[in-house]
Amino acid sequence: MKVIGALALLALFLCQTVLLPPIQVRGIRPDLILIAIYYAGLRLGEARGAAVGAAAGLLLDLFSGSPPGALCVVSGVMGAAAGLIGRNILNIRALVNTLILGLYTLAHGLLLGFLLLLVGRPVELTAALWRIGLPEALYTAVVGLVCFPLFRWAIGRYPIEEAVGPGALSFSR
Amino acid sequence: MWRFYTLHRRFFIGTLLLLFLLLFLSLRLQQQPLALLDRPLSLVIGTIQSAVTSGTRSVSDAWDRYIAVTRLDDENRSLRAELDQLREERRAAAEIAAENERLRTVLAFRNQVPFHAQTCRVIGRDPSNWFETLVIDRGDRDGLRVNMGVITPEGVVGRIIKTMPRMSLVLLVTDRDSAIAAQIQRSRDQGIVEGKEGPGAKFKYLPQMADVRVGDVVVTSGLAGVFPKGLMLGTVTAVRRNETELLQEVDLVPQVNFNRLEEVLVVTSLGDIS
Repeated sequence: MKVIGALALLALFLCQTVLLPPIQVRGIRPDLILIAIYYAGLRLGEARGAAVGAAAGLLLDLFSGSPPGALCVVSGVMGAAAGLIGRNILNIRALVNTLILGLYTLAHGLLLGFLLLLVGRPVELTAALWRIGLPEALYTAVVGLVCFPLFRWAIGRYPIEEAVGPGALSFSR
Repeated sequence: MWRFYTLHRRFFIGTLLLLFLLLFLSLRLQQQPLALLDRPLSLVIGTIQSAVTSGTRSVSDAWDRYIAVTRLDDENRSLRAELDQLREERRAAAEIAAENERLRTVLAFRNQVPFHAQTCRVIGRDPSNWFETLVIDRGDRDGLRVNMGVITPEGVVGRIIKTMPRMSLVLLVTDRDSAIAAQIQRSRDQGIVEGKEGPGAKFKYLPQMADVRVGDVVVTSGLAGVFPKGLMLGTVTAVRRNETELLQEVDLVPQVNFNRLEEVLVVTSLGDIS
């Protein structure tokens, strides 16, 4: 399962860097990796969500112009946050889930913006959120609608053996 | 009577058959009563024969048509497959021609500039929307180093910020962390071109008395030693002067379309021109 998860993450990374640029809208692409982190957090809980997030963030850090480790930290935190969401919400309808994913992506942008400010990068946070954070949140939420059934199908083929514990998330249409 | 008949049945039947035979053999009887039956009988039989023949012909025609259609269908499929293949070949040929044209332009540019440059392919973009970088297919094994300038025949792309053995990360001019020494081509006023939140870039540190107008071309000044002097950076789109400020705010749109980049040149050595 771990190997398959790592391969899936790698495939999503390649999609994100090679296949998505042509479908970007005003320079903004949906964040497939963040959708995967969110889904992993919901299904696996805080600790494993954080681990998946940190691993994905590390991969992103290697091929991004971000300050070293910034995306690893932010993605790790977001993975844990997704785990918390999954633990506290028992049943999510697809549309509510899309809304939560949009807010989640916006929170990711906000956190990243703060971290960039913290390390002294010249970020105009309000402008960045308006130009990048908000469109990214909308686009990612919409793409999430398509991605969730795919992830569910993929996980159905390779089921998670260990139970996440009370509050493990289930989806309904 | 019945008993008599049953006793001599064979005789009666034989006699009857003989009588019928005689009747049919009689030329007169053959001509007269059969001639009466001939017309209606031939009409009925003819109609039935005609209908049967026509039906058989229809079935035969339909069968022939079916066979022909089946053959046509097979032929159609094979022709469609051939057409698809030809279309794919034409698309590939067009792609190769376009690539050839781009490489010719890059090569011609590389041959005419007075510095050393290496041609690289763009193989990826930044995975995050928050940073503007791209990945090229050459790294430190090919002699690329951090801070080397990346250009195209259209103008400046950015500079290398990270190298790996077989690939490098290029920070685009439009990223908020990018800073390139530049000057206005017309007035020779100098400053720094930096990325900004939003599309385009800004020309910073231009004093109030600097002569800059919308439409002015901004080129590299060659001061930082990363880029040769005079490479196109962009065109001024807005100039904001505030009397209370020391410096002007100038926006510019880069000359290069970063979304369409496929091949770039890395300036590996400026030689003695900078």
